[in-house]
Amino acid sequence: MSIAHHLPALLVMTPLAGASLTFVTERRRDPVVAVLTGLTILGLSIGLVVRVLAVGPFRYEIGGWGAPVGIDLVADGASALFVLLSAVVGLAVTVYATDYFRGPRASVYGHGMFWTLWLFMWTSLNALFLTGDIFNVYVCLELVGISAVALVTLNGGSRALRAGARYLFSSMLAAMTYLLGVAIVYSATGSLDMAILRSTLVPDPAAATGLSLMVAALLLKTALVPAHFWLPSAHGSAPSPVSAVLSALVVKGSYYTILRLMISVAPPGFLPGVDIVLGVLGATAIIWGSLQALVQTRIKQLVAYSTVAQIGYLFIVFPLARAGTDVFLLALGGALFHAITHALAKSGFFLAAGSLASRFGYERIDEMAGAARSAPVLVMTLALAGVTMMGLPPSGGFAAKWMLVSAALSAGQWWWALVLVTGGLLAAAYMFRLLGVLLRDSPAALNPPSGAIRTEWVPLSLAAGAALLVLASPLVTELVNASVLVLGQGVTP
Amino acid sequence: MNHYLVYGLGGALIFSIGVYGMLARPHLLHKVVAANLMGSGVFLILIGLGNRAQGRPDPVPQAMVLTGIVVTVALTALGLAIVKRYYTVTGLTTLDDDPPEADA
Repeated sequence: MSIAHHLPALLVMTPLAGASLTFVTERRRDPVVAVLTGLTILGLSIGLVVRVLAVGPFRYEIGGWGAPVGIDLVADGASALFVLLSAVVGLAVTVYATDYFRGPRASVYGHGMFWTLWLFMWTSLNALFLTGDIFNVYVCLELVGISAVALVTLNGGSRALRAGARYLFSSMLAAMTYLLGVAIVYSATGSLDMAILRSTLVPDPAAATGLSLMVAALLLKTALVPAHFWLPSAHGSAPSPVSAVLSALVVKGSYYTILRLMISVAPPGFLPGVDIVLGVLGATAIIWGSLQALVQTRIKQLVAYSTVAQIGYLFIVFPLARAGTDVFLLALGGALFHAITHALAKSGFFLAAGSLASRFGYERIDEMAGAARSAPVLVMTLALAGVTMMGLPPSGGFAAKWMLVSAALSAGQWWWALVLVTGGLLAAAYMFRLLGVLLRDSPAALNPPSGAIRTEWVPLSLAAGAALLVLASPLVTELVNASVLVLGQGVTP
Repeated sequence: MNHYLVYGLGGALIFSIGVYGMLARPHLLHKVVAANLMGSGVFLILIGLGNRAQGRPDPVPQAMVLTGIVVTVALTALGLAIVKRYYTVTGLTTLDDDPPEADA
């Protein structure tokens, strides 16, 4: 058995080792530990992608015990894709944070606890993407939630504490509801392993109730409208690197689990109507989130409501999933592509917005006129990320929306296409409103940039990556086809 | 009606009380306790309904409950720390009243 087989376990162990190391090393060495950990994770993730492309999906039995008694990790195209995405975004955020948490901020923000908490969060995100066990999902979600809440409240101010408390309580509500679902599913089926559930789940009201509770809890974690109430304050008031990770990766973790449960665990027709409900909520999120983004006065709140809207796109895949194999593959490709593009664009956007807010010393959009002249790279980043979120060609956002719109039209469900296009127009409206202020020709008094490479060029690379993601679409398609979502029973013949 | 069902129904009742507390009680400490109630409800259901293996105890729900308790303890500790700090900083015990907006 080659070392490559152990990659899933190594991807969890590496950030865990890094996080533990930050406890014992000197505080000023933490950034070095974190960057080295991030580089290692990136290398391992690339290895995982190569391995999955070479041998297809594979299972890793932790400790050699194996399901149903042990816990299995599942490496397939989709999990490799999300692990690689977290590695890219995570490394960029880590590098950005080495500048952000320097000087006075280092002591104000939780006395340097950022590094430990962030690496713990990375550990649990990787575990969440790789696990094949529904109870293990609960543990991973909680670990993500605990570190995320702690990161939101890092500066200990009243606004951050309010946001953190609201986030924590919705997280607790979701966690306990998810666990109730797991208990019911286990009592109905006697199994926790997703693959075993997929082959043994039979139509049964108890199992369907359990699975619905789990999905409902995950919707609260993913902040799909109307369960989005906690997101804007949490994402808007967290330190910028934290906001970027929350918007880019954390909501994707619970979304990814919904995808696994709805498409590869539940047999077709197992949860009648739930896929339509998810589609309708997704459409509502697109419209409502965009309209809210249009009226925000703080730049980070605008980005947070934009996340609420962009999450909606991810849910249009569900009503299209049962409309035939071709439509399903197109819609799934669109949804995963959108998840990746949004992660890159939104992390770039949040980091750039954070740099801009630190250089102005405040977050109010109306008073940011003239930023384009003094901070051209940052405004360029916001514009590039904006192009992706509007879905203009040739950005990754365009490719994702194109796939979703084509899938909706081929399925004869034109109303989803209408919502997708309207969402793009509304995104253009709130982006142009922001850019209109930033590009206004007026003298602006900005603080000098600190570490321009880390605070300006790192966000720009993320946004540029999102804008050029079309180039990576063959790889994404290949990985989607090598995922359990496609190979499992989710595809109707 | 067997005795497993008593655990199941009792657990569901306790869980519902917890949900009510989480949603309806504004005091943050009440919410922390309510979350723990929800957890205890689920644990009862797990122990009560997890009797799949006939005639001998099923170890999987026991392991889940133990893990769940550990997670809940961690969540509760974090929750109490945040509530205490929130009270120290703002003097408030609920999230409903608007505090003076302090710019970060």
